[in-house]
Amino acid sequence: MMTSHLLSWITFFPLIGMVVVLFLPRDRHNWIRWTSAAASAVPLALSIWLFGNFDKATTALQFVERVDWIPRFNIEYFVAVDGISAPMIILTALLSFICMFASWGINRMVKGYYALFLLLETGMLGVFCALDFFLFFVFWEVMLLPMYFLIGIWGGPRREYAAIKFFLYTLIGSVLMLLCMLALYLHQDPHTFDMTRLWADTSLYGRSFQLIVFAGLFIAFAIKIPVFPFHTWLPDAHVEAPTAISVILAGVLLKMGTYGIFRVSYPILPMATQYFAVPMAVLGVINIIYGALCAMAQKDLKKLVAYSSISHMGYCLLGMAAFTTAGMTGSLFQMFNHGTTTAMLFLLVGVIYDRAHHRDIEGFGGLAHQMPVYTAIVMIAFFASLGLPGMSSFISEALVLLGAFPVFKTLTIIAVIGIVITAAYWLWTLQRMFLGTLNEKYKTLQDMNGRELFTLIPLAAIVIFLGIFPMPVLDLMNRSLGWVIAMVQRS
Amino acid sequence: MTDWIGSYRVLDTVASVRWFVPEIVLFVAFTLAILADLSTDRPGSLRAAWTVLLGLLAALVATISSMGGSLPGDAKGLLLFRGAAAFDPLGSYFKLLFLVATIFVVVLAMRSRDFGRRRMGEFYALLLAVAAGLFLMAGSAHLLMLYLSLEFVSYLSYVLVGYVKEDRRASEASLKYVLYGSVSSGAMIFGLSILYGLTGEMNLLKVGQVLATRAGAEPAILVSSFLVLAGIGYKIAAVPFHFWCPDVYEGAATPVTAFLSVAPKAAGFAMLCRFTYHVFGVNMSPVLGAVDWPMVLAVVSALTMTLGNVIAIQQSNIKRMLAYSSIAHAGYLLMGLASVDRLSGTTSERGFFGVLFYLAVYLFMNLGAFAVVLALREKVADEERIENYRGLGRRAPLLAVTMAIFLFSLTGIPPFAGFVGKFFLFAAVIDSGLYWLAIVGILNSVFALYYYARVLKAMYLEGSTDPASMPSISISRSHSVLLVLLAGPTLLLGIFWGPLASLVSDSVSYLF
Repeated sequence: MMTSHLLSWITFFPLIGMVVVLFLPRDRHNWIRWTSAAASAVPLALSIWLFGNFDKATTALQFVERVDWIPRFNIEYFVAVDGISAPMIILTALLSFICMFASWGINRMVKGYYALFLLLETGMLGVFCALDFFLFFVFWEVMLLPMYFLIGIWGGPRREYAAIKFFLYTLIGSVLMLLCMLALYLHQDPHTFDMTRLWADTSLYGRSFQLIVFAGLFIAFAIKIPVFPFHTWLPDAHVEAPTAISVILAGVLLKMGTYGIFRVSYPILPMATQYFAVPMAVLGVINIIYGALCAMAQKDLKKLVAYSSISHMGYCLLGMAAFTTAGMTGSLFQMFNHGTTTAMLFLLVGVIYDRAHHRDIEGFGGLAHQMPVYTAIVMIAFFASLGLPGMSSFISEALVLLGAFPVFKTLTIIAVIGIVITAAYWLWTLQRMFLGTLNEKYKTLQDMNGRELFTLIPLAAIVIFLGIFPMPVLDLMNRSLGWVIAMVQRS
Repeated sequence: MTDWIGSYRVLDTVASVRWFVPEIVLFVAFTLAILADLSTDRPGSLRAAWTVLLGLLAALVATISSMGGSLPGDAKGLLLFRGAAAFDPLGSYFKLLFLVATIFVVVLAMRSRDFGRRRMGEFYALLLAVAAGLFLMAGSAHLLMLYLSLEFVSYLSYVLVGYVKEDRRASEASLKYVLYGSVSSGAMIFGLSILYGLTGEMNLLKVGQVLATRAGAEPAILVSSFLVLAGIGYKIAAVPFHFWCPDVYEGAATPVTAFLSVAPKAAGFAMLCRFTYHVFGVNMSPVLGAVDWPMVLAVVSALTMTLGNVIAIQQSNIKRMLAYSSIAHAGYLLMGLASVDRLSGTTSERGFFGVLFYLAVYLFMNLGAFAVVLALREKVADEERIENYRGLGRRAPLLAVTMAIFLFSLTGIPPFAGFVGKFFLFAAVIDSGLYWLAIVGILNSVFALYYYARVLKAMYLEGSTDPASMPSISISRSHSVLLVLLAGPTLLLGIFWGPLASLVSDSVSYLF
């Protein structure tokens, strides 16, 4: 039954869960938690089923569902997947499921928290499934509201400021997207939001039109990614957000920006895409270097992880600007891998914060003896993030650099410096926190408990598995990426 | 013998009565409400209020039944009473809005504590009379009717605002309202008289036809049009005719404020639609070539939304904030009228569509926001400062959730109706090539989020977690139902707006 309208089930099952949660009694925290976990387990199971039944040999859209939604304006409920969105859907379902367990420590207004979280999950999955631009936009915005409250109510001391800053920034991006969306819609005759129609014949769009619309869309997506200089909301939002929300923010929300460029800008506006390739690559490299340097300078572990996200998203941008198979593959794979590694990192920050109630790197030291299991997992996460061979990020970053080098020689060489800085800050952090002498205060710290291990072990397994054997995901993406490159090279 | 003006058919007095039933129902109900009020001497009796509600429902039935079916002689519309009032789908749509708004406001007023224990019969009767005046405004296709109906509504509004005589704020507000109102309407009647002098016609359609034959721009036409716009601009609180708005909104009793922010504003837009369509829209280029009308409206629109938002940000009183926000919304609505059809260079169907659609959505979300303010007033004295909303999410969940829905909708965020409405307005603007206005509108929407979010923040993010200092507020059942009735459409029309869109489309498509 669920496989006939697979994508709708994946997208809306969390919403059904939300309704159920709203009817549960307020003080039954465990009922609420388990209901939410179940409500996010179903999309995960279905997305694994999707992964198994996905036809890797075609560029066509799969699992298509089309229903007229508002026929007067040719707005459809049109969802489908291809190799670009499939990995993202799996990633989203996985991280949402894991985050339900990472949220176990939330004790204030539990019902509201889980209800909003499930709504957020529906919004995120919807963005990756939607192929009608209007529907895409609605899902994109539906995510905003729960995020605002999740940061604003359950966040840290400066949560209000962080929440409104995130909201305003993202809204500016959204409304820009709305304008560009309208411009595309009105350019078609008959007017349509159907993306497959929008990219069918790009000769409709004049040169200046393409450049303006691309720039508008790029800013909208760049705010989400976030690309320097639109990144300033991110450290604030991350530091204040509760652990699980940080994971979602970095693991999924940032990917929506790059996904949007892949899905919307590239196929629909090929001429402008080529025109803006170099600026995009330059911005990508600025992200890599600037993010890494900022991370180096942080004293707060969570802020450090946040800036490392900015740095790693730079690789996606650099790779996607090259239009080579290797670069594009690297970029999309990096999106997936950054999702898993950064989720690990934020979860680990949460683990230590729950115990020590601070995140000051300098305040720790010698934790390796006190918490051996924790240290081992931290090592995996750090090394994954710095791109150690044998870890998944190594493959994606290597592919990005390989793909970008023939196109942007100088930029790629500068980008490599970013890898060195990344290695430096992770190793330095490792040294400051886990080596040396143990701080007396932390003699009593407990090592990780079962629930925490349950959230981290699967991610660690994925990171290592894909580092050794990346083909399952690469095969998934391959054909569709070839299609995107072909679309871009039409102009 | 039948006369035609354009595609409108002129009817004589006797034949007109059939199409004038809703107005007649309202006037009869007005009389009955007065009598019902006289039949009891219990202060605080709701006898008149119930009479008024019944009258409004009867008028609603009459309006809906008059909308079905075709008009005699396949006319697009009718001109009743030899051309004084128009009966057409556009007017009927607005009449529905007025009735829905008035019904909600009557219910709000019945629940309100703003009035204390005084005799309220006249108040409800007056509300009904205003509704009748709004009907006439929406249908006025005649220079005199334009003026008379606008004055009729204005006078009654002055009385409604100052209804609580002992309240100094209300009296002050009422006085300000009167002063501004008289200046504006004076300007307007001057403009109308010039227009009559130039054309020798009183009927709007004929005025338009005569103007279309004139070559070249005459300063007199420009002056008169500006003066007429001043009158209408005052009703919709567009910059620079908005000065009365915040003081009046703050001073008046909340139900009256809610009413003023929705119904007369919609009526002003009805007039503006007719005026731009018949007078400017006939043939913009030769007549009014000296002035680019769409550009004038676009500039007024941009100024109105920007100013409304800039000042709204500085408010700490929620009623004032909503007043300025409603000024900003008038600016968004004006975008629709500033849009022109690229092919014909005249008023655009898309723009009219956007205006009508947005007005319906705006009715629900704005009345909703005021209903929340009112529900709080009922429980806590002087709940108008934004900081008094602290912790509402915990103290009165339903109130806070519905308020969040209204505020998000006012901001224009999906999946709420406000987004869809704004979406159509932006589509009209972009379609007519006014990109700068679209960008101003977009920036304003982001800007507006900032002050709406202050209320959200107070409700959900502030307030102590200690339940003792945050006692829960219980809302009466009738109020909860009312809030759900307003929040329901606000959410539903954001997800599934097809039926409303069809209705709006039928109400404007015959013009184009």
